[in-house]
Amino acid sequence: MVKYNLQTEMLLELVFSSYNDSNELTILKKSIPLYLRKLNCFSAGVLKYNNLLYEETLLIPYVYKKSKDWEQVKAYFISIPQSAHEPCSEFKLENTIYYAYNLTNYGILILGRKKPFNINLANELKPIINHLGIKLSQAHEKKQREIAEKSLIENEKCLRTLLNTTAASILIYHNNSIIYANNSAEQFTGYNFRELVDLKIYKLIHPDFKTFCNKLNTSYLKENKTLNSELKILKKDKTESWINVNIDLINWKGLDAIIISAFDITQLKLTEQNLINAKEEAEKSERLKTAFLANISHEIRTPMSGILGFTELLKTPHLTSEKREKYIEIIEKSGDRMLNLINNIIDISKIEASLMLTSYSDFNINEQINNLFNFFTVEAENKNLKLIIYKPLPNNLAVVNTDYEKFYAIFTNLIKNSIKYTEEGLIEFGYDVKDDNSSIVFYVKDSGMGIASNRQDAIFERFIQADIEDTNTTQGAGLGLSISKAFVEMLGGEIWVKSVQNVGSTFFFSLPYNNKFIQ
Amino acid sequence: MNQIYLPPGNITSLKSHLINLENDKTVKSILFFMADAHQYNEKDLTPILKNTIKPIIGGVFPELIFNGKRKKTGILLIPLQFELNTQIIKLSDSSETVFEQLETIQKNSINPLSSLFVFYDALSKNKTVLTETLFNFFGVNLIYIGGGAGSLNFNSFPCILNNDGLYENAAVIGWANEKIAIGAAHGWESISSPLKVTKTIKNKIVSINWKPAFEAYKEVVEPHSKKTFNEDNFFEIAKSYPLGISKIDAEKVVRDPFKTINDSIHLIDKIHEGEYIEILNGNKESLIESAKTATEQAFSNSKKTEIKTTFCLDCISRALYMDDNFDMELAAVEQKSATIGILSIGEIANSGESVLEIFNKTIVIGIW
Repeated sequence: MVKYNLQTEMLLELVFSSYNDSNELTILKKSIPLYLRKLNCFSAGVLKYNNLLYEETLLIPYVYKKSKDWEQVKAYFISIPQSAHEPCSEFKLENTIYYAYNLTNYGILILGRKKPFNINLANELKPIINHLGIKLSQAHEKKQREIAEKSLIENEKCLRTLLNTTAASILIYHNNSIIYANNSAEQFTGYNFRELVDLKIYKLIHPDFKTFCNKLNTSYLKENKTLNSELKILKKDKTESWINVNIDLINWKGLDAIIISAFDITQLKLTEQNLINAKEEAEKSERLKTAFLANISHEIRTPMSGILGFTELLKTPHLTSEKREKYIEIIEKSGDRMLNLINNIIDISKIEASLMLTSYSDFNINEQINNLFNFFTVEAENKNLKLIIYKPLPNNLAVVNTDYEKFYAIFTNLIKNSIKYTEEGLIEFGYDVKDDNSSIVFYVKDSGMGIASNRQDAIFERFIQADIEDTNTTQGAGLGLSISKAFVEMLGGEIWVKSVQNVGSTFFFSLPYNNKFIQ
Repeated sequence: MNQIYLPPGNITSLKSHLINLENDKTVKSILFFMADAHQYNEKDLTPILKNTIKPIIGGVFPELIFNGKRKKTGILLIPLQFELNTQIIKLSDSSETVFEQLETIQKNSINPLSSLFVFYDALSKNKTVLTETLFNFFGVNLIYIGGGAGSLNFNSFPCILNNDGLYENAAVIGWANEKIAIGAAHGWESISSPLKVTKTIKNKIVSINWKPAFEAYKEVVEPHSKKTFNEDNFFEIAKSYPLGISKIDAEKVVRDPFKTINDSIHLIDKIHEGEYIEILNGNKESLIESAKTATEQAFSNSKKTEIKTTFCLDCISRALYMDDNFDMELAAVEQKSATIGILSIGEIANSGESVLEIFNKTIVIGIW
């Protein structure tokens, strides 16, 4: 028979009540009812110390939660210092007595009894309940640790998912090396993970932005906090791309590293440039139109004033026939000038509205050159200019299929311009067939004032004559060349000019040569 | 209390009495006890119970007590002038589930000056869940009174009842916002030094002091009783030698051994492994004395000036032990008023000082 010491055995049982448990709630649920049974208590409550406050984590029995007694008991034990619970504090309420013991590092255990503990038991319980507190706090800490670890793992998983699914290319950079690259970075740069890890970062950066590499150090970032910039990179296939890059410091697996996050903005840059161009174009167009309107007013007013003025003079009595003839001629020329201007405006409007149609037919260009020669001979002679024509093809091969009206308009405009801008020398026009017989290149060459090289492209633009400060410009709204260019392009050809200032200009235009006899 | 005893074999009479109680405005609820022998079957009884609106709780018990006499058959109806908040607890449920059900149904049953009737299936294997959960919910301040239902043949059957019918492996509780006066005593005295229960399996003690349980038990009982255990006489001797679980600052809780198999001792109710027990013994006189004590306790706790009836909840094993002398125990109870009650398999009562336990071989007196 064992030596009897019921109290000792009972205390031992309390000590071992939660020996194998490590879960806070399990320990509480197993131990506290046992304390109740073994210590013959009518109530037991655990107040957990949490952020300077006590919170009730367990109370037996349930109905006691709503009792005023419990509120009173709880308030009393909370109000006294923790040191008062050594070995235990007491609170008497009517015919009951409550004991509060320190659950070391955890809180307090309050036991309610109808009879007081004997002094030995009250003292012997102290280390056991203190130890229960240690056990509970360890379990609590373990749980918190597990939660933190779980949270860490989940965060890590979350981060991995984020890194691998984001459209941003992300690199982690440490000690002058790339130590991590996400899927997007691999796809964007064309390098696989291993290649990126082995790659020196300056090889990724476009030579124009090499200074950027200097900023990739932790000291720089510590001073400047974050960095955002736009730069160009070189991909594995040597193509260039614009990126918007954000750089910051990151603690990567315990290392002081740099996170580089980049978005491809090549398309954005392209769009941006297109928008800038379009804006400039629109501004230019607006400027030209304004100038054109100003010019056109002048162009209408001048001949109109001529017509009205000389019509008035015609009314003068006893006017000599010579003078009358002269006045009529001036009125006629002014009318022609206005008609020409109006025709040009109608043509350009049709071109802009895509209403200009083409009508193809076969005609002989030698014949047309002859006609042009005859037409302009008088005008040229009036300025003492010599007209020369060049027609290398025999008549049977000089047939082209194109829009005759437009062909004639183009050529007429070019010859007129040449006469207008040439004060002396000669004007030559004609054509040549390209070596491969694919097209005929027509030309009008003069020995006039020439065109400055920086204006040679501009002269084909609409209204340009009005916009340029050209003191030599005599007449015209600046529509002729742009109409000619539009006509040439409609007929499948090109127009261009070669010119040297004060030497002369040669205007060329090509048209497809599709003479059936050539084959 | 205008209690009604109905002999068996007349279900029409039962029906009409229940209708009368239903119509009696002074009656708020009913305790319904039926003796195991010649009991009505579930099929006949359920419609009658369902027909009654007033709360009914009770069960089937080995025997009944009416007017101070044992009744092996029949039905005892005890009308109560207070309302019961009743609830069936399925003992197959976990303690968490039972607790949640209590939280829902008994959330307003918080007055400490109240009482709880508890009747349970004595053959349920989960009675500890019941007592622990009830204690964890209600605590000790209210009065518990009740006992284990079933049959002495230890066959399981639906023995717990309420208005919806009969239940097996269940308990029924009824909370009353009324304080009942109770007294409880057992009259058994220790004849041994404390013994440690070193191994148990459910309701079976396998070893005491690391020895086969029966061997340790026999070492104390045989010299004291001057009788020798053989294959057939275990209960004959053991009914005089129950076990008492030692408690700090509280009465011993009595446990009833009823058979031995392979040197293990089988009990009506459980003893936890690690508990200290003492072997108890009593005699006719000590038991009668305990009946008097319990009655006096109840009377002294009661504030009633006129008590017409005493409710007695006595252990059937005390009746078996006392045999013909049991009338003397009932006579000891019936000092001041007529006695009604039940003979149960295990008793529930609390002194208000300790946790709730199921007692064996104990007499409980209630007055309301």
